[in-house]
Amino acid sequence: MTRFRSSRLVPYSLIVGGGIALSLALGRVEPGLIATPFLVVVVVAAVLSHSRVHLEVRVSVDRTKALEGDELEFAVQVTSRMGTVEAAFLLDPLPGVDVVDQPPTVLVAAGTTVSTRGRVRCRRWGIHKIGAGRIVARDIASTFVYQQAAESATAVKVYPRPERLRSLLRPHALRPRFGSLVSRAAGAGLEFADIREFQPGDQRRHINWKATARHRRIHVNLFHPEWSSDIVILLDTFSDVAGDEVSSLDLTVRAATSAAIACIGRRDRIGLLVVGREINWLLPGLGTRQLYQIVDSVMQTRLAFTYSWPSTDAIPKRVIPAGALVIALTPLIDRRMPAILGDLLSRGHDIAVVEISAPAVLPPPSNQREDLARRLWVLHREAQRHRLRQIGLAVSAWKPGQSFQMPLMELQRFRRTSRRVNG
Amino acid sequence: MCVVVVLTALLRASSALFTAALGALCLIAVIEILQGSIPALAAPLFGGALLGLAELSYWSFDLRMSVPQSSATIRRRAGVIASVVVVGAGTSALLLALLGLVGTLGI
Repeated sequence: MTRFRSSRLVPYSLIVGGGIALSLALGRVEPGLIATPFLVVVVVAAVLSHSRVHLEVRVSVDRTKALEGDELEFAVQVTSRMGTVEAAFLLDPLPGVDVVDQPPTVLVAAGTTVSTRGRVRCRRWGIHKIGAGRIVARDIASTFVYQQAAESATAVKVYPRPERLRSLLRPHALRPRFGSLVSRAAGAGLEFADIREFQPGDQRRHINWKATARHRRIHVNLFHPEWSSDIVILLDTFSDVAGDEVSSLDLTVRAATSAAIACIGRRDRIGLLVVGREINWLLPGLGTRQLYQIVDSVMQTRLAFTYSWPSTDAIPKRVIPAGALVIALTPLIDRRMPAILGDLLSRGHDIAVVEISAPAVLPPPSNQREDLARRLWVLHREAQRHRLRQIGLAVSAWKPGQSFQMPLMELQRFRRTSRRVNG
Repeated sequence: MCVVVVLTALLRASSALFTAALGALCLIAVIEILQGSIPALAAPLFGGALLGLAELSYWSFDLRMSVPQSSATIRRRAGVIASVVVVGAGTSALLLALLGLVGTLGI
């Protein structure tokens, strides 16, 4: 442990020295009498300077998984092997974690273990190592301060708080596997589609007896089957625009998690494609396990600054199956991203782009020059969005504070219209 | 004047300013006693009071810089300060009594 002298010992020693010196110089006892109480503290400090202190600290967190905004309780166990001290634990500041309650100072007698508790709030998603800090101890007269670093830290996974989505985008092509999306094709399902004359192979339970009686020929009911789809979430990690409270990457991660949960709930297969310094992917899959894999992968997403121009040739065909809908989440800042989107579109993939509104993330401009620059930037982005729409990409902006459902609804409307025009 | 400086130091949590004010207060007390404005018998009380003021002030600086303290540690620290002040003033008074005794006996 590192030992420091209390800041008051130097002035006390000066008062004692001055008092004695004045007494000797003037031949009067009064200066010495005034300094005597301070001398008592200096003598106590001299006696305590020979004592040794040895502490052991263990920090534990009540759980290792939490959601954004959750509060966690951590316990600090201080064991004194030598010396009686007053100990306080100071948690190291962590980005994304706020200290709500510092653990209060406790008195630890020699040979005993005392525990104290504090609380932290998980402000931002990510993997945070909570527990590293330093223990500050004082002897019984507070004449010496001891400091020791506490290295033991628990990794806590803080998941982004997902938004409950009422509906997700509907892909143009469905996968002929059971799901929640009503197909336009006729087949075995629950949704009524049409009535037609009986054909060999039709099931007897599908006979519509009223229509049969009216037409005097056997008629059967047709149904729309419920199928599922493949959805791939494409994350742009080329750039990040960070505001005072939130960054575009935070919004991207929240949107990806919300979309993944909605897809799994709809029994769709979901995959992940992260484009940045390198291209990483998770093959489309089903179920809760896939959801956890996606969320864990999304949480490890970091800004990847690079000058390289990744090629979509590196993406295996299995990552984006035929007919899959690609939901791209991008702040549309880096010029490589529109090129990648255009490339994927030219390969025949169904793509919807949710633009994370970078200007809305930033604080308002503080002067006229900034205001002008911001307006030019917004115009440039508008032009880029227009170019993407011209090549047939559905783009919708998502602003912080807005529900993620809104850009999805706008995209769905755009896709429906574009289908009507094309088809 | 010194009282104002002490109050300013406490409000600003300035340890250096307080140390200077404490030194000045000690010096004023010595001058007042030497001039005879205050009886010499009051010197131990003045010493104890100055130590009490210093201990409480440095404790307030500690409290502002570090973490919250539990009621047990606050009680213990207050007890330690009171003990130090009583023992310090008592030692000073004892010293004064011994010196008086020595003077009376003419040793």
